[in-house]
Amino acid sequence: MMEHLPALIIAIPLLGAFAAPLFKRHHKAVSIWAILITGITLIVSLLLTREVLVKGILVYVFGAKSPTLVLPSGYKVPIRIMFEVDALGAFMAISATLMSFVGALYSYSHVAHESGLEKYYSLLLLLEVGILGMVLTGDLFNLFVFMEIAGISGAALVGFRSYRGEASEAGIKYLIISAVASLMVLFSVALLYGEYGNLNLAYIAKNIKFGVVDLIAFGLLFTSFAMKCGAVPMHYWVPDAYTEIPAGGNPPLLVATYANLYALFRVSFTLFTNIVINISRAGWIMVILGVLTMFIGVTMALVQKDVKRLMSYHAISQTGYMLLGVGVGLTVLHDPSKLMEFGRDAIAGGLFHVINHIIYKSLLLMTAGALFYVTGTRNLDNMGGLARKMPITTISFMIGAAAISGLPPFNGFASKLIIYETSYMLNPILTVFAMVTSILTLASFVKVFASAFLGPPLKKYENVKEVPKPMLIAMIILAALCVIFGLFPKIILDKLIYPAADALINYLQYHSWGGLA
Amino acid sequence: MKRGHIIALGVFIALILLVSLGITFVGKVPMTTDVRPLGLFYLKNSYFGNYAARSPEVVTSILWDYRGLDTLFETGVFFLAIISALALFRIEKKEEKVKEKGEGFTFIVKDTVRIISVLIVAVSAAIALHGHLTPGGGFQGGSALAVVPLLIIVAFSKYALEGRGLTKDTAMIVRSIGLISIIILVLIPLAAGGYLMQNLPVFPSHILGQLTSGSLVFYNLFEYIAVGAGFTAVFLLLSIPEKVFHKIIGGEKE
Repeated sequence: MMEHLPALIIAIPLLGAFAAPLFKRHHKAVSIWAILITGITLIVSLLLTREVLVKGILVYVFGAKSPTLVLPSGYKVPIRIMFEVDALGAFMAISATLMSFVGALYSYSHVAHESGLEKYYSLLLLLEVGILGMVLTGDLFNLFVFMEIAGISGAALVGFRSYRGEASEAGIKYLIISAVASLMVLFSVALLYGEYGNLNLAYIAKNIKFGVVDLIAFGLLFTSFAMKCGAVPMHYWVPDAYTEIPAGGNPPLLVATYANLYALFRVSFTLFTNIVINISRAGWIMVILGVLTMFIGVTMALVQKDVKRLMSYHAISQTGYMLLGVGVGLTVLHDPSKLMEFGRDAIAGGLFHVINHIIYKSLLLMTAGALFYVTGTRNLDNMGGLARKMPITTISFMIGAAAISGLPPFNGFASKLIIYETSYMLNPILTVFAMVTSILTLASFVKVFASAFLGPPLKKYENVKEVPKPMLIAMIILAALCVIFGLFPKIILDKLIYPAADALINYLQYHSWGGLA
Repeated sequence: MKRGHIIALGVFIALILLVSLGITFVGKVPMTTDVRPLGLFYLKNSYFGNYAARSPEVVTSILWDYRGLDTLFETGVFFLAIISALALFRIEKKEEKVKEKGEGFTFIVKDTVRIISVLIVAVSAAIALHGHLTPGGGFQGGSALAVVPLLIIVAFSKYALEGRGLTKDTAMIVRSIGLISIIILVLIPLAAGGYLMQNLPVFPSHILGQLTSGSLVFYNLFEYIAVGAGFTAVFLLLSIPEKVFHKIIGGEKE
């Protein structure tokens, strides 16, 4: 059964999504169904990661045993779609399944009063399927298919509160962004297929020659994935989408954003890595994009009054750290001494920041959702004095805010420290920007804390109570992870992050299907 | 359209043309006239050979055998599109009938629709179930099947369908059953010690002397049901008068 894990991990949530419409008008039942399915998927992803860490790259071919076939003419090609799971894919799969589980748990109470819940959970599960497919597949066209699934389900979730005009508008924005990005990806896949006659990622990567057409394909892929992971100057959809989606959908939507970041890394490191000279230039582009993203994101966050919108701008800013970390690694990928000195650590720092950010930003957005749940508003000016009424939410918020601002001993500090140290080795100016961003982040969250939680209790919130238990449990899980990841970063780094970073660096392993070719 | 918009559009189109011409002539896109080696493999091995799907129809063997995963998830995309539409325009309250005056079409139209509907069901079933033999397949057959409710909506009214029990909800339940059957088909090879989405030799290539190309005929059958029901659900949604939406969901009026 273990060998089928890469396939089962997408088959289970897909079955859950297809079956969800059968629970029409049984709102409790469909919520529990979604929690159950996401829980099972989480367990499968943990088992899968253990397999990958022990055995190395797992290849799963749909419908046959071996990935390739030697034709009578001696032409050796993969003829079927395959999943190729390395440590990076497994790491993303854990993030996706964990966040879908937390999101489903939180949604149990958060959207309980909405109508059409069987559709909501169906969309939530399909979003999980889309992310998992994107991070596990080893086939370029298949990547496009899963990107479409994640994009459409994300857009429908963003617009789910369709009785609000803003939600519909945000949904349409996200849909258009997704459509443009995935069509550009399709176009570049067509270019690559026209040139190499195959769609397998490893196969194309091995045979890539790097002419003008490849350059165009690389540019299009890079841009569309950067657009969908919310890098400046293509960040405009992020605040709308994150603000309007019901807070239970925030964690999976965050991971969907970073699944596109994963695709960006996969394309730069694995697919086009044989370009010895130009890849460091691509790395510099990634670094500069990262610095711009973090700085512009945080300056726009400072002026926001809507609590979820403010946090969404911080999400843009934090994406910059990941681009910076991994970009630093990409610039020195073909320079073994520098790679060992700081490149590998930089990549690990960037990837560690991905999971840390997913955890604390989901936590923060969920506390914002809790504030919305009890007060009915997201405007900071209308809140105040909620700390005494909602102690657990307050503590969760404090942990999340400390983590995003990079205060020790929380998880944000652990990954930001690595990024500071490694980007300093490349160019000290980068580090200055990163640190200033971090300070501004802290300032902005102090403002939120003071206006929402501190101050005299307001009369209109006299009867406010703490949010229901499922929401609290979801927040406590993430707050605990923030602390654990911050206190024991070494264990997480050694077990999960460095194998993932090595998977990006050792691209030859990926090209050979983990030694099968 | 303002003048600036026209200029911007013109520049945009010129840019696209320029880039595509550039790619073609400067980038030297290989313009192969031969069949690619991979395509040749599919052509040669769809019916004969050890790796065959035992289907004389190459397209179907690629769709549901060699690249079955893509097709499975394109089915997912279609499911997603329809469930998104239903989620965004959800009407949970019982909608009122909008009464229109008049007698409707003459008996000529109505009787013709009655006769044609039966024919369409037969033809669409043939398209779907012969998908592994002739061009066609589950999606094409299902789309043809969905013409029946569309004709009934036009000739009678959507209430004629809903009065007989074919509501959006029933259509979605039928659809879910079709899709769950597809997932079960995907999982069956596991029980036989094979791989997910494996076709031959887990499924028999012939049943009762008839060529069924392994699992292809079953995939087409369930896809046919799912697509037909999905389109029916979306047609029923689209035929709701706009004023009903205004009343229930709200939103701006003209």
